[in-house]
Amino acid sequence: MMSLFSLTLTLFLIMDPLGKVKQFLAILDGIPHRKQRFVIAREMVMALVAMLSFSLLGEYISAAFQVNMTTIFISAGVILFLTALRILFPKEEHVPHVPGNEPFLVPLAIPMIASPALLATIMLFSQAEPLMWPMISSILMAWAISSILLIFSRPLKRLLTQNGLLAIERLMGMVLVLIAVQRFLEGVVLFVTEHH
Amino acid sequence: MILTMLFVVNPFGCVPIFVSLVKDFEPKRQRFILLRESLFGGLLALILLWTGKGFLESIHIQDYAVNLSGGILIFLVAISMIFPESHKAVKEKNKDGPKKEPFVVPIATPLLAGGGFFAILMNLVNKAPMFDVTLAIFITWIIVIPVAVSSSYLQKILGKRGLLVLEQLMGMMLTMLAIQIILGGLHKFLDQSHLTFANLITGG
Repeated sequence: MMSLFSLTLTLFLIMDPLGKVKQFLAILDGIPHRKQRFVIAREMVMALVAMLSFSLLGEYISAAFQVNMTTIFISAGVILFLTALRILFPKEEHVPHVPGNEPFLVPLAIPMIASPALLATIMLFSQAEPLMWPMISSILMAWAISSILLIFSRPLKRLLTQNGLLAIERLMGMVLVLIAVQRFLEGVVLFVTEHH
Repeated sequence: MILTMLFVVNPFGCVPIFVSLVKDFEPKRQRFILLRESLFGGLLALILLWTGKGFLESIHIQDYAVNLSGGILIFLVAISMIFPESHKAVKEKNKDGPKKEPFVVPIATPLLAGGGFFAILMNLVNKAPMFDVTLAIFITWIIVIPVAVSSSYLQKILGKRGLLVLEQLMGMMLTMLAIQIILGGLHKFLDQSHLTFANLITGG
């Protein structure tokens, strides 16, 4: 069981808003500046809905697919690890394809903010936590901080400069690898104890 | 203390690795990259010293995970040195845009300020006052920076063929280093989680 602060920090790190500022701005490039903030806010609300539903329905989803905790631990670790590798060793400057002119749900809300790695982690934590409220409130807090950062992504980019953002992106990648490995190993411990 | 740090950071041993990592750039640019990366490494070492433990504890990351992650990343770098992308692919890529510079990863971390270094830091903090450790990092980096920057001169001595051979050899050595770090992490993991190797294999 983790404290409220740990939960919030972990979720915030996996949401990784600072590492995504660059991609957000690239995707929103063709949209007038004033409208960008509105689009970001709207996408963040959609991402929040996805996160909350995975937190509340996680138990039923895993029951429906008949996956147990060990599986969720290990797969959350693996997905997060591969996501982090993409950040650390980028294949190419990749701007996700935007269907239509304006991003709607895809790609900003899902998969960039409510990424598979984040949703798997939320599913995991929600089932590990005996109480519902710590989880919901930490999702809300991590989400609120990320939203504020992303809504101000343009001034943030000016403040941190291109290279500053890149350095943060890389460091976040390292942190995500750490979290991923930790999750994976927790899954291994669970697996071995389960097997006894 | 400084000797321990130097031994772990191992700038002299890393020289050939640095050369292989930056070999595609102009010598001037190489020195700039290496200077920047070693400064980043030093900065990161200080950040790790002052906030690392609290940060990792607050997101529930054990020290074995630090070792394993560092080892895995170094392993991936090593593999890309042993099996470099084919010449053609590299050339096509270069047409499209600027070549990919090492930025923060992998030189600053995990090669210079990586898992092993972090483990040493945590060890030293328990024995010596914070100020001394900070000073030791500064002195260590005063040695590390010129060594890293001057490694770009090694390229001239070695020539093109020498560099290719060196890259392969260093890839191999780096793989071994990575495996060693990973195994160290696994030992810690098994100790801390009360699993034995037999348990892991047979599950019994």
